Amino acid sequence: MLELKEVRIFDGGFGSEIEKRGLDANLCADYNLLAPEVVQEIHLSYAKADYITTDSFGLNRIRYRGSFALQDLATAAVRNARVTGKQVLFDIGPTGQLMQPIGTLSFDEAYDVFREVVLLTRDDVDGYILETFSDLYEMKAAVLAVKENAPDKLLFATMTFDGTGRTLTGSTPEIVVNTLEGLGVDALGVNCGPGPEGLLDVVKRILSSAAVPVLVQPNRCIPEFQNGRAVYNLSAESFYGFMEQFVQMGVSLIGGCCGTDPEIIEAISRLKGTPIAKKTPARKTIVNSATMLTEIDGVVICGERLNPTGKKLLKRKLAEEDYDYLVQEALKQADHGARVLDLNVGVPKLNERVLMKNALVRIQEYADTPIQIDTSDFDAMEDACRYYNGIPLINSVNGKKEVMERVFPIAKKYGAVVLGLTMDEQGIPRTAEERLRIAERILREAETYGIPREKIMIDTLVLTASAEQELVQETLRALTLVRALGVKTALGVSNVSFGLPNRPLLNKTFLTMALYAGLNMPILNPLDEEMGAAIDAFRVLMNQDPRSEKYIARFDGREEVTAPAVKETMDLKTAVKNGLVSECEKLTALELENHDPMYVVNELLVSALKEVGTAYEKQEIYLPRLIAAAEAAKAAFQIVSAKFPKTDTSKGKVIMATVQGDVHDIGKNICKVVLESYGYDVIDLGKDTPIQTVVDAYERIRPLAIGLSALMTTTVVSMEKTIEALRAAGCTSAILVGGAVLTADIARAIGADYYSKDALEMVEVLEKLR
Amino acid sequence: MKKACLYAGCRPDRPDEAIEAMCVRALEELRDLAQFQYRYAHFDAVIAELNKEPYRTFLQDAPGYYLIATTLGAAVDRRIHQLSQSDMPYMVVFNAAAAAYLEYLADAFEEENLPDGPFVRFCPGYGGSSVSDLTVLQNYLPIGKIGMEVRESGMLLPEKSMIGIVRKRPARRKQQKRTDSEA
Repeated sequence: MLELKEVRIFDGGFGSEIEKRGLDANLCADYNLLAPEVVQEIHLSYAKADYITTDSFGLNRIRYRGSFALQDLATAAVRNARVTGKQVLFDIGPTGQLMQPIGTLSFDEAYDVFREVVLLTRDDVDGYILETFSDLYEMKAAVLAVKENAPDKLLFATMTFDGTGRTLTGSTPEIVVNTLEGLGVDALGVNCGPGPEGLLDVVKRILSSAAVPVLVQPNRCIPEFQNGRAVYNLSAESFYGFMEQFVQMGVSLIGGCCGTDPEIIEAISRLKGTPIAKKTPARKTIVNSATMLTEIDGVVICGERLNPTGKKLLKRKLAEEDYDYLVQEALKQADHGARVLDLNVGVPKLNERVLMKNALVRIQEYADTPIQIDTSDFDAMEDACRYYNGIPLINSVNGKKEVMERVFPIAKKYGAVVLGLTMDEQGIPRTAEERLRIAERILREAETYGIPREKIMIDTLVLTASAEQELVQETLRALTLVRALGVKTALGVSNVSFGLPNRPLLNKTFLTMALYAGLNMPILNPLDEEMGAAIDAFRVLMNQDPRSEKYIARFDGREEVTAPAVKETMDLKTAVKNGLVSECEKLTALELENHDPMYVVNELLVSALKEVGTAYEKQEIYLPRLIAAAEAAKAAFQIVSAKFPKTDTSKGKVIMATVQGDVHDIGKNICKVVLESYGYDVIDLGKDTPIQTVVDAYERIRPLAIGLSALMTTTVVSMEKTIEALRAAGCTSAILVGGAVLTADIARAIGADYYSKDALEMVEVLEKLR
Repeated sequence: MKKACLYAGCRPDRPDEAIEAMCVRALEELRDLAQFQYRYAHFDAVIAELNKEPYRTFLQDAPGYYLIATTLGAAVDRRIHQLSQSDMPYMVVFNAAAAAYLEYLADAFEEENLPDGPFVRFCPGYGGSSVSDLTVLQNYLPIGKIGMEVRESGMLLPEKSMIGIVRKRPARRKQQKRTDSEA
């Protein structure tokens, strides 16, 4: 860990200095070879700085568009910086491409790009500075590229925040600190952005949670651009004033970004040697995604619904790799108050490593809630930690030596919090004291890996009351004992009731007892209203819910506490037409008690959809209502389909994709919902779909039809090529195309079989094809 | 609000209360979620890339003009993405509201920050121009600094982003005003 006692100085802007000399800032990196004397002159002008950053911000194979070899430029960049005789940090900027899912750059691609740069330079530099990153996931790829390929080098990492105090992809300062510290950077902070004044609050927040030195390199101010040139209007003395404030707040390293110049660096170098103000950030148990931070304190619900144990439907969805189902379950749990989501994909005969990675990546695309990686497959565990965009919770380690030896290195490398189970080679001890001793052993062993206590949680393990009633109390006593160690606790609450009647009653009672004994994170079903209500009631009685606001909000607007009954006057068709999903589910179940499933499908669901479709075509209702009806019908259809063998209910398989180069998928997603509501089995290949992926899917599935979507005029070409490739592969499925820029004429011209202007027209075409 | 409803497909003569309520909700959410960012550059002379139709006509007699890039940020795209899994009807409305909100903020930005208004804005991809022109215009603005990217196809990321050409509104000229590059 880098330990600084006095303030150190970084250099200032480079591109703006290049422009000052009448050169083109877009060729910045090229000047390392084209005009090395100019680059050296600029470096020397920052002689007051302790750290010199190479002229290599855009030097990676994605961003660099020039004609020189990366190796030659990188070597020259280091050579030019070395003339200063100061510590030289190689400057690595972002790729300039947005990461998936907003953009198209994958984590592995980003990692490879940064790894290449590190391999080219690691023998020549003193360290690296990763700067101007606005996406935490891209930053993680870059940090791992440095840590794995140049582990003995200094690593500084700074991100860019906007005026709202978030990075441009929505991460808060606290999230950035928790993630980068977890990944083991030597110093972290902020650069670029809205100028020093606009960063005061961000820096304050970073300092309140960072244990490592904090680096601040603001822009001089927000620039104005005149005829392609940036103009900065803030004096060196004003800039100094802000930097003095940062130092007084506890910042250890200061420098400048765009628009700062030697005059500014000379001014702030007066602060060099100032003793660093002591900061004592509270050590908290925190997990985070890129956009949500969960501190494990008080009572935090961990959702258990993404664990296939005892869940036939989830097992089937995992076998089918239906990740949309997992995403929807994740979002539902988050909506019901889960602040951590357990993810377990362990199903016999399925490849857990592949499933875990794919499920995790898909879920984090949509859900903000931090993930608990629940696996005993260490490869799956490491993959999940690697691809997780944030700091996860690992479930679990235990007191077995060989398990700790496998789990702790993973947890240390990725900064994960680890859930320790109080069991060891001898199994689960009977007494609370023995479980406490295992917890203590886990903490001691973690410490030898450099994992601090706040990164460990303890699960004192629930045994079933039906089999070992006398041990239930031991679990609770153990909770109280381990809390005294200063760690947070977790329990899989519902295990207690296996094998006994009225499980909800036992679960709720046990939950309340466990909370009172010191449980922080119950792992339970967040959709279970009774459990959620018990937690809210506990918070009121423990003085944790000021003015009982959360408790009152839970029951606000409810006529009675019991679940509302279906209104007697509502029928299924009306519920579908009004898009009432939960009403539809209840009414479908009622209809199925009295009618044949086919009657429910044809006479009620399809009939309702037809009426809605007609109303839409007559513009009596608008698109959102059409979709709501389709969603409701889809929910009803799923209940009906449970009564059939699966093959009997599907009207046919349809592959859908937004074509390569196009990430607009709203239209395609609407079609998918409507098609599914009509009983079609949709295989969604997603957006920006490579041509070969569509062809492969066709050859594997041989669907009734293939639907291709494009919104951009420029990607219709890609659609045409996809159709050509399908034809070349002998495709006999009907090819339908749609999207804002398409017409029937264009569809014909690019070789499609059908054009459909919207989802309903697509249904009409498919009905004729069957 | 009116524009958001219009973009959600509602005809002004046939309002839909439920959709209007969703629009209100979406705009409230957008106020918290959006990270409006901008970069602009002023030019006195027509740059080579704009020396063709329809830009030449648009810039005719303009004493100068701006290139402007604005975005609502990645969080809005992410929310749309999320809603596509959890609440599709609201997603449609939210998407429309976000497009309207971007226009509103871009208009407000121009009015408050650029001298010599009122202005008129033209975005590549509309009015017979090609969206692929964005791939060259991006070189004049440091859009990476505000988290934007122009793909090879001309597509803007985040999706709720805009690159436009802004000039003082001519005295007698039919207004050409468009935002949102989803052409």
